[in-house]
Amino acid sequence: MKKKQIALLLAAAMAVSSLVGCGQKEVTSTETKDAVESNVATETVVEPPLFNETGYPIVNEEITLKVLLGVSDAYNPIEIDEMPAIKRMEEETGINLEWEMVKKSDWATKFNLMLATEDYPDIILGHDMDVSIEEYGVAQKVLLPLDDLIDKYLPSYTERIALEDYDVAAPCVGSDGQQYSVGYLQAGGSKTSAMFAVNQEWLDALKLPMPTNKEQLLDTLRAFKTQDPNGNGQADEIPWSARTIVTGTTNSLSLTLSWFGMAFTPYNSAPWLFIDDNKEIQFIPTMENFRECVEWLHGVWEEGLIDAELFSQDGNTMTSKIKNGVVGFANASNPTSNWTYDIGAKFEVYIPEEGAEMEKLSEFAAPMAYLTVTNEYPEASMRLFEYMIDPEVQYTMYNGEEVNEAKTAGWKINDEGKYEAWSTADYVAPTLMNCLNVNTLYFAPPATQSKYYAEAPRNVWRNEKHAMLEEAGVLQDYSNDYLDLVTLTPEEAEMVALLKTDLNTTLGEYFTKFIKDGVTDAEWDAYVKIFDGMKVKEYVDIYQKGIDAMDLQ
Amino acid sequence: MKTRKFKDMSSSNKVFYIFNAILWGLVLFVTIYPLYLVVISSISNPDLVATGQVTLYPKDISFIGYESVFQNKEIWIGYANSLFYTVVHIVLSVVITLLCAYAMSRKVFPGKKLINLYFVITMFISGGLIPSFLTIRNLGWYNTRWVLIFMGSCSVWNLMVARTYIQTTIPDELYEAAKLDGASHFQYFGKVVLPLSKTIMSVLSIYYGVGTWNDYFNGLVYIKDRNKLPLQTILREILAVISSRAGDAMLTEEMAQQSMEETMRIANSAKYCTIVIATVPIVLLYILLQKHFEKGVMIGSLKG
Repeated sequence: MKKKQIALLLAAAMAVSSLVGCGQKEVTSTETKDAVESNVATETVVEPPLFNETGYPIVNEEITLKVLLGVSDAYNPIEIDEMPAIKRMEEETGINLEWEMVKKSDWATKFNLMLATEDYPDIILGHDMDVSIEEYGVAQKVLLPLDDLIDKYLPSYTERIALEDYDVAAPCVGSDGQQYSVGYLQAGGSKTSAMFAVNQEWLDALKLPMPTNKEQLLDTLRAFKTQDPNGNGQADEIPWSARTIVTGTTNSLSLTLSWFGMAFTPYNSAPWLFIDDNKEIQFIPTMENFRECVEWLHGVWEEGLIDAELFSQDGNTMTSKIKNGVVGFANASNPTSNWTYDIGAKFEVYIPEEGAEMEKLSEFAAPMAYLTVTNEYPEASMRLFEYMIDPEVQYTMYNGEEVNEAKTAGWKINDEGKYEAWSTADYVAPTLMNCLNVNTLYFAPPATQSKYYAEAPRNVWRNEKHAMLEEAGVLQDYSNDYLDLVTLTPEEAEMVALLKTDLNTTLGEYFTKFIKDGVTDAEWDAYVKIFDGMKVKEYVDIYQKGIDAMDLQ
Repeated sequence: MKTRKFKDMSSSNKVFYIFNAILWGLVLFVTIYPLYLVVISSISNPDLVATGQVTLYPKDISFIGYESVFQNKEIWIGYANSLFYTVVHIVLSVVITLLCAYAMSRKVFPGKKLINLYFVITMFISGGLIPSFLTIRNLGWYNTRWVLIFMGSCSVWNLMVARTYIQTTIPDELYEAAKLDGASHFQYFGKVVLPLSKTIMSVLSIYYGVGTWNDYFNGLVYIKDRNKLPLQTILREILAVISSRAGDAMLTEEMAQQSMEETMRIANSAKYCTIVIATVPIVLLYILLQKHFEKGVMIGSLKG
């Protein structure tokens, strides 16, 4: 009997333990957004410490702000708290920062979990992360509108915007007209997302001129294939290396669509659309030019002039081949950056013939720094952002200290009074970065960038080539970046998100198939019919309406 | 039964034997080759690996991947963390599972059916990630090592296997005899059941050990401090470096610093090295417990 009672007791204890997770929500140091909204009337409001409107420190009693920092996957740093620039920032501002670093590949999981459990940080930093202003600012009201705070506490930011003749921070504004983010922009003068480049050393070795149209390009590729331009006696040359992946990469073959008058862009939020010279939105996949392009590429494939691993290789494999000196023609956003300066400088930009419409870039800021509604110190946070975008501070946070410990690299102010990076010949980059690099808040629109900072040699090279493309008139008149500024209703956003996935999946398949196998009339008709059921007309109309409402420059 | 020699077999048996050998030889090759490729890639030049030139044997032997891995402090921290979590988790899980399995194997256990149903329901229906996260946070285990030690420490599947093992392998008569000698349940469990359960303990150790060692998701979701992350979460970040579009993305404009380029180049080789290093303890565990594992893996599957 006693044993039976003990057994029943244990069973009851197990049942009770299952209720552990159902208890009252623990009150964390950061209150819920509902509690904040009603906070004003209660007696439990904690008066913020004494805040300084100007000068440093920003606060007279130390406060702690939780920062969720989204970083790129390749970023490998020392502890953020140990970074010299971060330590100085905390000392000078009086604000203690608790960093939670989340890599881009983990961002969706962590961010959505944070939202679902209402465990908000005070500050979110991340310019390449998915933080939709429409959804989290306008709709869910998780993000704090920043208009008044920017006007009052970010004078440098507003000054730099005013220096430009277009609204560089337009992407940071929601459909309700409020700014939900401080933007990130490192203007580099880039005019287009990718360039095609020919191996100039091979041209010189074979005494061939730079091709200026598609026919000459084919002849050049044939010569690369058969005449051993790298002079090693082996037939190891890959005349043209590329990839057929259609989204999110600047070494895709899909960029050749621009040679046929379609300004394809690999990155923006409205894939497979472009703005033509009449400010009309065109849907690329069903245009006759699209068929012309894939048929031409099919011919190139059949002749064996293009990489045999075209359909399967990743960006790293392709880059390795270029670095190994076996590739004659390829595309990238900036060869001297993507393939290292020494390798990239051996290539020369290919300027397509008249009729080409390469995508033109407009340099808009990407939303980067956000405050959440549970932030108890929004004024102090904004002054912190102002500190971070100081010309010297942001340059240091991006590039590292003025002089590193080994005295082999750093930055200096050159004869023109501009910040310039330097390194000795024996400089070896550390395994772990000691600065935030691309992940720091950095705001330098074109006028600011050219005023304070010397251009990196790789960007000088790239800008030279882009100027050649611009002079040749092969860039589109109106940038596709304006498509990113079209405000969508929640229903439209949902439709576009679903359509985007369908389009990229379908086109990834057909682009590859047409290049490999060619396309007959019947196949083309069947392919075009696929898009009838995909709400393409609505897709185009949404963006046409948005573009018509803008004053495109 | 005496094994017949090949030459004494009938023609149809010979054909079957040859076909069988070829088929399983192919299966063996398909299984072994990826592991072999990982090992030879880990000691080959990263550029040759990236261009797919390393296929049958290592080329241009280079240990740069291993150097990069051994220099990466986080890999060592992750390794130590994973070893700690795995060992502690195995001990804790085996104890909890066997205790529970013993209780569930008793014929006289009031409420057994209800408790059994309670357990089985959790096998099919889970609250999901958000309730789990809220539970862990409310327990105060968020960003602590406890979460990685306690989560999953009583798998219902393993519990059923252990319970069946005890029911089928340890006769009730032993309990009757022990009871006559005045033994309590705890004494019987400690002095009779446990010594006879080495096989199932090996099986549970491997199941729990492999599960914990390979787990990256719990580290990703519940741990914020990088010095508490398990090895697999860190390995996943290395793999994310490779698959990230840093080689061709717009961001490369800004990221083209020597350390980034070199990270990308070495990451291709480092991923193979990290896989080799991460797999060694599990392979050793299998080798150590192979004898018991072979015997025990099917034994709990029979319902007595």
